[in-house]
Amino acid sequence: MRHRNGHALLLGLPGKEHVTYHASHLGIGIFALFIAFTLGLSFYFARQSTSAKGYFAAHGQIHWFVNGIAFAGDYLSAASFLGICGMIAFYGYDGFLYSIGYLAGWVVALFVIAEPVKRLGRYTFGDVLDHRFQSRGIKLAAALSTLVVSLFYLIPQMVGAGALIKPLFGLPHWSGVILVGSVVITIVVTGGMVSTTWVQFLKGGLLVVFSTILTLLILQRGLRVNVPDALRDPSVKMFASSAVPVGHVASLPEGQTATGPLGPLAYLRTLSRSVIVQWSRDYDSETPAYSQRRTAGSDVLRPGNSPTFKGVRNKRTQDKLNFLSLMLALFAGTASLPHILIRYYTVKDQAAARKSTAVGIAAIGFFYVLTLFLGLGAMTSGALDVSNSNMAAPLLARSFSEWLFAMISAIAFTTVLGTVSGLILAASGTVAHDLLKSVFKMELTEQAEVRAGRLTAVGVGAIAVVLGILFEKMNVTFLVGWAFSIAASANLPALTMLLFWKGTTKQGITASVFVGMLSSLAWILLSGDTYRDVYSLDPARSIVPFSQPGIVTIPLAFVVLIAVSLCTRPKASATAEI
Amino acid sequence: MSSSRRGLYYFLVYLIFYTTFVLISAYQPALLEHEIGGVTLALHGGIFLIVCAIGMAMLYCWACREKNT
Repeated sequence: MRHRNGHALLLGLPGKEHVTYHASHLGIGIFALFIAFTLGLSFYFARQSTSAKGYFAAHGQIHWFVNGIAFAGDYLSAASFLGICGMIAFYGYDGFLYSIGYLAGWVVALFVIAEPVKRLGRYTFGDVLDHRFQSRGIKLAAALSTLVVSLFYLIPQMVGAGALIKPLFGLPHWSGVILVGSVVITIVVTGGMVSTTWVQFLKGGLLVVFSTILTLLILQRGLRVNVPDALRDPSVKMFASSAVPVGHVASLPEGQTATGPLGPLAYLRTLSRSVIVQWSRDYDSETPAYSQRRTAGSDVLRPGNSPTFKGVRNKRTQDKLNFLSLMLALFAGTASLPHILIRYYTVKDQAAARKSTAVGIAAIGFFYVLTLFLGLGAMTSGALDVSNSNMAAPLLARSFSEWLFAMISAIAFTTVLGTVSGLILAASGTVAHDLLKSVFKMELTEQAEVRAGRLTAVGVGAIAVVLGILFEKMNVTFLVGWAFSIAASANLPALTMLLFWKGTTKQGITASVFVGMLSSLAWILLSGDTYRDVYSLDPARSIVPFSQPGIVTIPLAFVVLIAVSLCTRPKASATAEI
Repeated sequence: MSSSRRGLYYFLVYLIFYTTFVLISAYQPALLEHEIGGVTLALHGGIFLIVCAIGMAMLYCWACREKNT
């Protein structure tokens, strides 16, 4: 069939299966086993979570190695696993830029933040900021920042759970959200930080092990020319409703048709000299359609192919600043995420905090190198769903075996469990410990504080479930980026200045957190990306010149802290009296 | 040397690597298209930053361990 503008239209390939998803009974079985195991762990650890120290900080008795892998389990969200693999599979190197930025953030955590946070805090991020001042303002600012960041991070995780359950297990969106919400609430309410830690340890370990297995299989299979006959005509287009699996190699170096097993470097070298068939959305078409293009492998392995990073290849100053701003937010955001910071309270001392961060960096860094091969493997495996980049990793696994598909699908779901439980615990701690005890000055016994934490976990979990269902149709992946930008702008300036400048005052910290949080939030709401993706308005009408706020709002929070601290520093006589 | 001072030095070293890479990506992207050993500099740079973070983390722990003992 041929379109009026001359393009061949592909409405379905005879003898070829469309990208169909059916319930994987094996996957459901494996995931049910995971859930049963994690719930069993939670009930087992419930008796260790009766005190505040037990519930919010696992008594500070988690082994540093376990905590390190739990860091990986906490941090490697669905965005990291499915999102980055999908972005590399669709756009090549650009997805890897996220891997680089996300990991670089851990350097800040290890070299600057880890040991002081362990030394100065007890249960929450607010404890660290407030350790010198006992200020209600600081606790309020830290609590609000924690809640905003946690909520922005939670929503995409819940929506992601719903989006995953349909193709993977054949169940409706709402059931995935409710399933994840119920399991996570049970984990957090029963076992608190102890069970959350072990769930994250299990998830982090499984993710790294199975990503390694998948990468070894990719290298073992090597590369081969695999374009189906029906797609050989480059003018062939495809509708989403009738999409067939894509992601092919059009040609290999020296006229080879298959390479056989390759080492990691040889794999990248061969891909660089091959020609890849990539697909992109055709926005001229009224119905969602996709057109193909033949791309040199070397072009795939350089930055600037995706809409997010296209700015690096043009001369516009705003695009350059947008890129720099995003890379700054990734670098500064990790060490400011509340659910990451509270993991430092679960180990016994500063040395353990340091060692566990190093283990986390090793596990996360290794995983991010693997994402490169997973993404490129999906790009060339002939198993991509052109309309859903998030399915790249599971479909890559299915190109090897149904068993591996089931395992990767179950792990993808467990990925959501681990991250969501950390986020709910961070929110729960900040409400019970910072807001109720410190801001509202409620007299709470240890048991009452734990009870308040549990009730908050149920409340935050329920809100996350409702928002996860309400936002089903909305593309909410950008919320993770928002969370990073807000965390970097609101939390990092206050944290670093408190640690390294003696002139910091409580007013300076409070003002910095509020200004960082509100300015980054306002910038994001007025940005071109939000105009296009949320308001469905012309991005050219946006007020701010580029979408990523970090390069403006992080320095702004530093300046506000310094200025307010200088204006509110105690007079010399008052200092002498003290 | 205290671990916090050592941490700051390590942080500054990594910050230089990261900033250099990001600035080259933004203002000299063509440089990253050059190939060394059949692989683009963009990939070499990215993998270097990840491996470097892991290596520096291990080195830092080892150096601080000596002080602790």
